[in-house]
Amino acid sequence: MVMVSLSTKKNNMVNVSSFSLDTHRYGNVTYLPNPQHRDGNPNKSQWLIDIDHEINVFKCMDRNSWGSEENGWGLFINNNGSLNYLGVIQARNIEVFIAKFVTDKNHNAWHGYPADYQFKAQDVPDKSILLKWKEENFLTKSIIRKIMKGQPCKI
Amino acid sequence: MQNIKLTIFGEFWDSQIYSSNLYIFGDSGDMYIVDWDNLINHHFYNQPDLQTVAHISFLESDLLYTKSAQVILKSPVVASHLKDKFIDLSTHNINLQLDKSTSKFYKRKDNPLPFPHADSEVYYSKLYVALNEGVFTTPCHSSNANAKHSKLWDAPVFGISASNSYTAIALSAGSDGLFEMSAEKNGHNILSKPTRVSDKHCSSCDWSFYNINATSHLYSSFFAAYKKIPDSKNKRKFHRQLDKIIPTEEIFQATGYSWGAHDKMYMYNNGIIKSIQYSANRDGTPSFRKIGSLPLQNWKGSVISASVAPFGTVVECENAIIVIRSDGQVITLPGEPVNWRIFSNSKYYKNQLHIIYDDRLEIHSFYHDYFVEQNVKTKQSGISMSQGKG
Repeated sequence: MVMVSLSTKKNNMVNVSSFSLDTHRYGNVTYLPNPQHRDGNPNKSQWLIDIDHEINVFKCMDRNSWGSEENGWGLFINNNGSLNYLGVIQARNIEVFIAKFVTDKNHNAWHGYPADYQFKAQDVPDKSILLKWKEENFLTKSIIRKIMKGQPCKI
Repeated sequence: MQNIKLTIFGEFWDSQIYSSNLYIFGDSGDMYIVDWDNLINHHFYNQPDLQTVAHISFLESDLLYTKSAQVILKSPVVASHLKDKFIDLSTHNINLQLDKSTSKFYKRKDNPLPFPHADSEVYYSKLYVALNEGVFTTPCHSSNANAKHSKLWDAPVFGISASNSYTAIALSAGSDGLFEMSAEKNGHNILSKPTRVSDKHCSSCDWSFYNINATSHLYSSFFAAYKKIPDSKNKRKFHRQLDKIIPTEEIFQATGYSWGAHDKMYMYNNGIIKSIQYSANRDGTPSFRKIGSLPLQNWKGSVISASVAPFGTVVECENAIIVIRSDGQVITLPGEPVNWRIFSNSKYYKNQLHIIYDDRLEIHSFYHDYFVEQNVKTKQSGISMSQGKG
């Protein structure tokens, strides 16, 4: 991971067709929320949490190195250490609790969305990340199996 | 009649049983290869009264399904005596530890395959695993402790299922669909790159003779119907050719979560499981016949996964595994499993249900099905073990 310190700097407005929300900078990292995951688009997973929390999920991913230089995986963790749902697969009304973050090379920035791990095996986090989450008691082995097999699972 | 339970304590991820060996994928990237036949024989060495039923329960499920054995079981005296012995065995707590006391019956080594995996399979002496990094294989009997795996495919996969007689492996690739790859009969090589059977969403799959039952948690499940095309040179040989994709809604005339294997298909919706019997017409086209619905009481929550074995239909709910046995009894095994597996395609372990919990592997062996009429037209829950062909 190349991402570094996480103190928030000034937010800047960008003017790109599909990315119209504020950018958020942390050190040399830029996070650019994708509005398609907040506009009710039935073909896109939708965040249930507000943008501040979305950014906190990204920061948490960064802080814990839950990913690589190209993608990362996030959880919405309560103050008491338990997990919350962070998004919904709107077309099927399924709540999900893992976020996927990807680098957007066109904008030299990251963006993220609620991962649809039941639909796309590509949205299943890397096995090393799942094992880290097990070690840190965020996920049980049973939940990890269900995620890896694309099965329904609740937290 | 209670099922027989054997427990192996330890922290595990998955298990496979094949050709006298039990393979246990450990929780920390390790693998146990257990000399299963000898471990069981050793355990029951001082219990001659139970040796026969222990052998059938754990080592050779096929024994009482043979035509000869079924003739013998028609004798009420013989059947009653065997049942009594099975019942006796079911009252025992069979607990095994993989430690110094059993060290001559197992080897522990690094898991040569990517870990953790989504699904695993054994086929012609090779272990396969599938996960979002692709499909990998390694020989079962490698004596080399440093043996590595081969990568067969790099697409993300949820599930893997081998045909027991058609030298093919089916792959569930989620939104990418259902794929199939051919395997040589001697298992040395995978002949072809996977080919797409359907682009419909597929979470898991199983074989219905030469057809594939594809299950989706999200959308319509489907039956990939194949035709048998005779070989131009050898009329005793044939090739499988995809005929059509049949949505399970069309087969059941209803919607719901469906699954199937061999001659049975099931669909769950609103607390009811509808059952269908599959058979092949003379021209190889599929025929589906409704055979009723299965009893389910006090069953709540959604289905996580399901499968079918000769001893019955196994359904994983949120906090329990439910077995709707072929004799009509419904057994609830409470608790959220780490993993579970049946072995319908194996010759010797068809009666086993392996369930991994956080601290143990439970091997449940079912014997009631030896005393159930195996008529394909009347057996509702479970694969029929009569000689019917697909």
